[in-house]
Parts: sequence; structure tokens; C-alpha cells
Amino acid sequence: MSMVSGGDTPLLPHPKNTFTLKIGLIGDAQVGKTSLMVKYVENVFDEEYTQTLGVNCLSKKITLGSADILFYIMDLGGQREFINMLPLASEGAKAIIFLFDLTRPETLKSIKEWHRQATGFNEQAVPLLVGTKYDLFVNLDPEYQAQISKQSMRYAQAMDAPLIFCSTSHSINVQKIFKIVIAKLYNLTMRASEIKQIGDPLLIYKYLGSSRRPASGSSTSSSAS
Amino acid sequence: MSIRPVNIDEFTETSFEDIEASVSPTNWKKRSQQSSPLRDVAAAPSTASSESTTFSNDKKRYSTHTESDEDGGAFLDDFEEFHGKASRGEIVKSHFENVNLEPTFRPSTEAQESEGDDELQELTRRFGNKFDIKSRHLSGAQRPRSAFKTFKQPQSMMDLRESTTRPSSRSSHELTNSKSATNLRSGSRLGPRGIQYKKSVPALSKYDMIREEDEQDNYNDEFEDELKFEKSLLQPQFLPKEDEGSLLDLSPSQYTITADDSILTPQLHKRHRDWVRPSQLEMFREPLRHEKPAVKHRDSRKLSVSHRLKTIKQEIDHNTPMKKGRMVYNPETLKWEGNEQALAKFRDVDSFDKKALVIQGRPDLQPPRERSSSTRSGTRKHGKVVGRMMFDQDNLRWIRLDGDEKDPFAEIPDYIPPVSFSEPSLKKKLPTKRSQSQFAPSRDQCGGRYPSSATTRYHSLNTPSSSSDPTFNIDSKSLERFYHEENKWSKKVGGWFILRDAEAEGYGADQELPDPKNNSYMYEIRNMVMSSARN
Repeated sequence: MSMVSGGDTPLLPHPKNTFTLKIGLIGDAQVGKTSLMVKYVENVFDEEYTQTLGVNCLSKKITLGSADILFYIMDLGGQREFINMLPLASEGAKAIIFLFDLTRPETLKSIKEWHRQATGFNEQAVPLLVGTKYDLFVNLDPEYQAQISKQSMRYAQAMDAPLIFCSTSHSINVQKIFKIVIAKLYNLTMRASEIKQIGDPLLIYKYLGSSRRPASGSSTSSSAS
Repeated sequence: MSIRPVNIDEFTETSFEDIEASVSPTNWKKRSQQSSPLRDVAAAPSTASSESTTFSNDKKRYSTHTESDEDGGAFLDDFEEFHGKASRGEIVKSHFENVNLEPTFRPSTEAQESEGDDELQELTRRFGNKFDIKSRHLSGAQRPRSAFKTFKQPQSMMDLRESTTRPSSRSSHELTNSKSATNLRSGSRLGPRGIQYKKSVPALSKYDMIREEDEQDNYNDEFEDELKFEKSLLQPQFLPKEDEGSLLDLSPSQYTITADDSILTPQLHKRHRDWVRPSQLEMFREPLRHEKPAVKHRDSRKLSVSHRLKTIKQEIDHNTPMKKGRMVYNPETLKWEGNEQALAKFRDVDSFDKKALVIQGRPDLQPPRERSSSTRSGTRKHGKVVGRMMFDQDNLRWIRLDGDEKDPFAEIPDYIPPVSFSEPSLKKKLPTKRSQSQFAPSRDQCGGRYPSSATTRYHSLNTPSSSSDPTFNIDSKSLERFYHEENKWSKKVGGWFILRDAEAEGYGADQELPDPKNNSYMYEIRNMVMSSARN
């Protein structure tokens, strides 16, 4: 319905209390971008792999205090042939979630390229680095776990991005990802304590991703120095 | 927008004295479509202080608690960005709009979805308590920490006009209680039937659109208070540009000093407990208040997913070259080219990797240490490694890594304090260390990480006796001296060596360091030049 504003002050805008946040999910194929999105929005997990042919979009509204936040999540197919649609998922996004598969180190390595390209379109977005399939990760060699944890931490530091290890199938840290998005965008302080011990599903966000990118209003690509 | 149940009958109670006659109870009653006095907000902003207003009924409660705004100006003045600015409200407002992205209008009819939810009252109360922009954080003086206390309601939020054409009748909701609504100002100066709503109070509904019952609670519990008025919340033009990346721009001499690669990822903690087993994953599961029976409704849910899930397919072939902003799509590589400087950050990461790996591989950058050359890892689970000594945390003592320690005191009775003996040997060690360390880089770069001959030679200098006990003592003073010597040395030669070769030998395989592998020495040179220029 449309709000009818009083005739005496037609100049004032309509009341606004829903904030739309576009979120881009980016990462190699089969790291679990779509799964994460569907899990978050619908709380469903499907083991079957469904290739994303383009960009998937789902929206979810949450209520936060007196405002509503509408997540508009765009998940870009990880195959290379869809990378020309990267602007769709990254431009105008308030947060870009970079996903990698904790059990496949090469997907972490790819983050560099994803990050370069995504930030080329959108420098203002808050980046998040998310390692997926934590439930499989714990089966792996402790030394491997430690190496991946450290390496991803370094990536997170380089990107100034909160680092989260999640498991979509086991509902680990899925909600937190999006809470962190809100926390970073609105400078809120999250209650959830960080998880820092190697081997645990890392949740490190407090000092990462807080440095505000240039203006959030304009999605123009101001060239970085 | 707030679509709120209101019991008009209660308006005469206590705190609504200020309500203009035109919004008298009878008026309200007639306009039963009005769900809330908030909808009668006049356009004219007011920053007058107000107390708290609470409407409630048996089903739902609604609170517009606000606090005095009087010290708000002074508070804002505490921020440099706002100091002396005449129109703070405008600044804050524009900031708010800017920062908080694109608010869009939300249909009030959705409010109905939450009707009858028993939890709503509780949730609403929690909202009010924990994350109530309207009350504490926007204007509250009771929470001096809240940086939002001087936040005025943005003009855009003020345009809640009374209108009889508004739909959404909620006459069933009755307002049974109200307290001190001094923020409802006399309408005489606000226009007909206007209820002045405090500027700092966004007239936002707490009622409608509570879809995520299972999470909403979560979300509000998740944040501590805040909407802090940090400078990052402000518009960029008020901010000095932050120097990003400086954090990672360390010179080699800085980060090679330490052999503990956990320093590179200080946020990570070493594992103290057992490693997580798959069966323990449950303990990390995120609690949902209403864990949905996912299996049961799986099909239907999937259906709804497929319903809601939109897929945007590309209309152009991926072989088409494109240009977007500064990025150019290269169909051959299937990449967007441009923004190459973004990789620099990761090059730093890679050099971090190298350092960390070097440390693990006991490489050449740290001549004093590698002289002993038997440390495989600076931080093993056993503990700290200095030289060829490793601290045995179980027994709280230093042991040799290569194990062939000889105890010169093996045959000497225990009553002789070993400290007195260790002193002279330490004195011997120091020059030895220094002299040997000069050879260390080249030796180690040849791959001789564990040159047993050197070790033996070194060892023989100190321990002429051939006892086989693998322990000896180094007092803390000597250790300290080692440390300083080593630091001095690292400082001096820290920029001399490129660790790539040695490191790549052992670790290149599993540690992917692709592009910078060949020319990252340039980066080292750059750092070296920069650091020398600094001096």
C-alpha cells in the first residue's frame, strides 16, 4: 500500500524503514554459494549439487528493532563462463561474501582473483571471507586444518574481511554471516563471541571489515590509488 | 511506517494532555483505521525532549520511549565532525540516509502477518529494550555511551501524516495503557490534528513484518546496544581518508624477526583442546528458536525455494568482450581485467606466507638461529624454539632438537649446581654463534637445513666431554642476550636475503604462491629500499 502523506508537506519523503541490502555471493564452483543462500533464506539444505546457471537471487527480510532489513542475495555461478555476470552480483552490493571450500585449498587461492575482480566493480562493499563445508573440514588432518586456518586468516587480513568458517549442512555460523554483515554495515556490536581457536569454526570479525569504504551511497567505481 | 493498534479510549489517560483537540479520543475513535498515533505525526520536526510513551493492550505492547534530548547538542559537539556545524540535524540525517542505504517503503499490510503471535509482545519489549533506535540510542541521555542519543529522526521518517485514506484497520487492537507521552505535542503549532513526533524518534513500526520469528530474537540479542556513532558512520567527506593497507605493509626486517608464524595471524589461537570430531559439530550448531523440521517440510520448502529463487541468465555470450567502468572483460581468459592493485594486498599475504613458511622450514633469513639449523618449526606444539633448542613445555626445560645432546655433567655428582658450569659454556657459545652465523645463509640456501657437521662442530666446541645426556642449562640472561644478538643481526641482514628459493623447495608444492613467485624479489628490493630510505 502506498502511504499517503499529508498535503501540507508534500516535499517530505515517504517514511522509510526497510533497508535493502544487496549481498553478493562469489567464489569458485561448488563451494556452496547457493546452498548457503538457500539455507539462510529457507533453512533448507540439499546435498545435491545444482549448478547455478547465471545469477541466483533470493531475498529475505528480517526485522531488526524498529527497522526491517531486506537482504537481496545474489549468488553468481562459480563457473568461469558466468564471470561476465560478475558486475550483476557485485555492483551496488553492500556486502560481498567470498566463499571458498575449506576442503579444497585451491578455492581459497582463487579468492585473490575473485577479490580483485569484485572490488574492481565495487570497492565500497564490505567483504566477508567464508570457508564452507566445515563439517567435512574437521575430518581432515589437523596440520592441514591449521594451515588452512592460518592461510585464510591471512587472506582475511589482506582483504580486511571478517573470517567465518561455516557449515551449511550442520547449521554452523550460517546466520552469523549475515549478522556480521549487518553489524559491519550499521556499526553494531555483535554479542556473539569470536571463535578463534584453530580447528573450531572460526568466527573472527571484530577488527576486520570495519574500516568504512568510501561512500556507500554511490556505487560508482572510483578508482583506487 | 507504523501501523499500530491503538485504543482511542485510552488517550485521555495521563500523558496525552498535549494532544490537540483535533486528535481527541473521539476523533481517534471515528478514524478507527488509524492504528497508531504515530501515524498522525505532523511533518514539522520537533526536537523537544520527551519521556516515554507506552501503549499496550492485552495482546501487544507498543512503546515509544524516548529520552531527553537536551544534552544532545553538547554530545554532538564532542565529535569533531559535528562541532560547530549549524545544522546538525541535516548532517546526521543525510548521514543516516547515506549510510543506511536505500530505505524503501514497506507496506503496512504486512503487519498483519504478525498478528496473534504470542511472542510478539515479548519480542517487542526486547526490541524496545535492546535495540530501540527510537528511544535510547537516538536520544537517550540515560545511556551516555550511546552515540546515537543526539540522532534526530531523519526528515524522511517524519512524514507520517495522518490520513483517513490509509487502509489497514486495526480497531481490534486497543490501547489500554499509556504513559507520559510528552512527545505528543500540542498540535496547535504543528498543524491540524498533528501529533508532533519527536525528531529523534523514527516512527517505525515494531509490529509489522515479523516474519522470522525464529531469528528475530536472535538478531536483536545479537547486538549489544548500539548503532554507535562512530566516525565510520559519518559521511566520508567528514572523515580523513584512512590509510588502508598500512597494517600489512611491513618491512621484511619487521616480520622476519619472529619465528612464530602465529604472529602473522594473531587472531588465531592455537588449539588447546582436542580437535573437533564430526560428532561434536552439534555444539556449534546455531540455535534457532523454532528449529524447523526441515526434513518434514523439505519438499514443500524446496518448492518454495524454487518458487522464490530467481535465476538471471546471461543474454550475451560469454565470449563477448565487455567493458564496465575500469574493468574490461577478456573472453579468452574469462576474466575481468583491471584493478590489479588489489592483488598487492595478497602479495603481502604471500610474502607473509613465505615468512611463515620460512620459519617453518628453518630458512635462511635468520642467521643467528639457523646456525643451529635444526629447528623445523618455530612454533611446534612442544613450544618455542631458539636456535637448536626447543622448549619442552612438559618438563619446562630446553632440549636439543636433534637429540644428540651430551651432558658434560653426566659423571659429576648432582650436588654441584649446574648453573655455575653453564656460564662458561655460554660465553663460549656466543662468539661461536656469531662466527658461525656468518656462514649460515649460504649454507642453508644450499638446502642444508640441518647440517650435522656444523652442529657437531659447534657442539664440540662447547662440550668437549662426550657424555650423552641431552640436556644442559641456559640461563635466562643468556637467552636474553641471544635474543638481542639475534635481533641485531636480523635487523642488519634482514633485507639481504630472499627466502624464496629455499622455501619453495620444501613448501612450494602445497603452498600455492603462483604469480609473485618469480618477481616477488622485486618487492623485497622495494621494501629494502624503502626501509633504507627511511633510515
